[in-house]
Amino acid sequence: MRITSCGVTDVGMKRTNNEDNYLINDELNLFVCCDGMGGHVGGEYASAIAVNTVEEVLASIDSDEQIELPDVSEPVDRSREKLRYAVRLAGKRIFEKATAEPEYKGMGTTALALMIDGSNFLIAHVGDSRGYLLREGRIEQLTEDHSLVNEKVKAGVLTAEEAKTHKLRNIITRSLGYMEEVEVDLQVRAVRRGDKFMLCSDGLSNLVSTAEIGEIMQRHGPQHASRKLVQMACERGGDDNVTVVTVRVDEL
Amino acid sequence: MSLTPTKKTPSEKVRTWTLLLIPDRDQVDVLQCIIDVGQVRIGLVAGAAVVGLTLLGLRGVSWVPGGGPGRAELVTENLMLRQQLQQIESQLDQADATMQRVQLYDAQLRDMVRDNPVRPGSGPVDEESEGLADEYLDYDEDHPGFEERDGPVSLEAEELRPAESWAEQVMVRTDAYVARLEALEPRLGLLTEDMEDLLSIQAAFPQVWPAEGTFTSGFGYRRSPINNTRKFHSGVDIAAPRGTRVVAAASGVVQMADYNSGYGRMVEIDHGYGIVTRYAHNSSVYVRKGDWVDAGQVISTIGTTGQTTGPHLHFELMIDRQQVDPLEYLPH
Repeated sequence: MRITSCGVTDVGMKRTNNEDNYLINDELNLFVCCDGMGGHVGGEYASAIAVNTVEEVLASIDSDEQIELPDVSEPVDRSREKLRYAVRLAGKRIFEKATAEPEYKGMGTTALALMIDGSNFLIAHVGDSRGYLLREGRIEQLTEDHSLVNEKVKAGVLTAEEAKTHKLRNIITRSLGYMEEVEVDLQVRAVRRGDKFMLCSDGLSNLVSTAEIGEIMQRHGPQHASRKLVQMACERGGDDNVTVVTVRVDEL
Repeated sequence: MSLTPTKKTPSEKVRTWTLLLIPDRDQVDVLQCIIDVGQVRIGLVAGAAVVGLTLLGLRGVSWVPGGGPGRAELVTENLMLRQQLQQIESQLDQADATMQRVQLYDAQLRDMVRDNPVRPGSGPVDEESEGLADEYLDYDEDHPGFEERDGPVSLEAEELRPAESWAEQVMVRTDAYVARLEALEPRLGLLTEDMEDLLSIQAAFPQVWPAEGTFTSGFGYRRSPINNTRKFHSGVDIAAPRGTRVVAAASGVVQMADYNSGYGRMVEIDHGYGIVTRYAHNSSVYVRKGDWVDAGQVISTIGTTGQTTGPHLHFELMIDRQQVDPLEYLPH
């Protein structure tokens, strides 16, 4: 398998600190993007715990006999359970830290993890960081935001267009850190040669449309695409921290 | 006789036991009996429950000599009470989840209020209310939380729990819950006020473009089209045919609708928070001083009054009486 990837993060134009964190691990074919929040230092810390925990768990889980995963026979199901376990443990660690230490009270983070595993890709997410797939020239949003406005769109109270400019569009309904146990959305699908993935924080998706993302990913390789996308968000106001991780599957 | 686990792997708990009855002499068959630990546990629990309830029943009988409720009724009542307690506990669990969500929203909204750098003008957002904001930023320390319980309580334990202390636990939990809600309410109230301030500040900035047309000149120094000298251009120009409608960029109160030799027929709208917009060179003006206008409402038409070289709208945005570049605030 040969994969090319590139991650870029930027504080944006309005904030003073960057609470986003991302991770690229070429050995595990693991890509993570987390958007932290809460308090003065909590946000950065929460997203750092999340990326580190997910990486640590997935690197060591096969040799760790202490960890009990649900009993599944298919290897792909096992991978799914590993990823779920990793994200949930991250949530638990943040929750414990936030409960134990006052300066971290109220911290939380989104989590978005992509793992390419044999002939499949797995994507896990909590919150409103998004994953996209560009395949055969078509862009597809893989994740469904766990956000207040998305709930309203689903309920038919708000149109997708209204949601884009809604004042409370950044309020998420699920996050790592606020609940001891969090429900993780997981998908497994077949990966194909030439697939391009993009993981981003809402600092990007609030300012750059899906069609534009598709266009940039189509036209550029991971390095250029990541930089270009972050730059676009900053040029359009850069209200929030912006993080982009672009991944291209060159060979299976 | 020997007792050996039937199934044992290092990671798994023993589930069943095999009881072998081996006779002293060979001619009799070995008796084998597999015991399921779960069943034994249920059996034990059922036994204990029967004993417990019987004792309770007896006590009930001894308290109410003759003519009182029978044992069977007491047993039924006891079971019902236990079921109710269980229900209350699961409702508390649900309330817990709701509370966690509220805390999640609360934290995010506070982030929004804190992160928003917009603090212009002399509106209601001042040092004092920022102080208030700080006050509710650090919270919770003194308020009782819940004791964390170790996972879901199993049915067996539930059945064995003495009803009195169990009910007491539920009461303690309920009290803590009410205290926490009471602590949260004023915080949410303050937060709502700050959010309203924030949202109305945002609404005071231009929401819509004041006219449709061609953007012909930006904000800043330029060569004047009138006398060809270098001059500061205090707004943006949108060229469009005479009579094109001009709308209010945001809602507010008309503070001036008058003629000025340079600006021609002009309108000024006060949006609050020190934010004012100005619309110049109109042909007709439809609003008067003191009128309330909504964002997007037609206020005038484009013309050539005042110093112009052709029909266009000159649009200015002022924050605390300082002209700023409207392009930075107009929607993309």
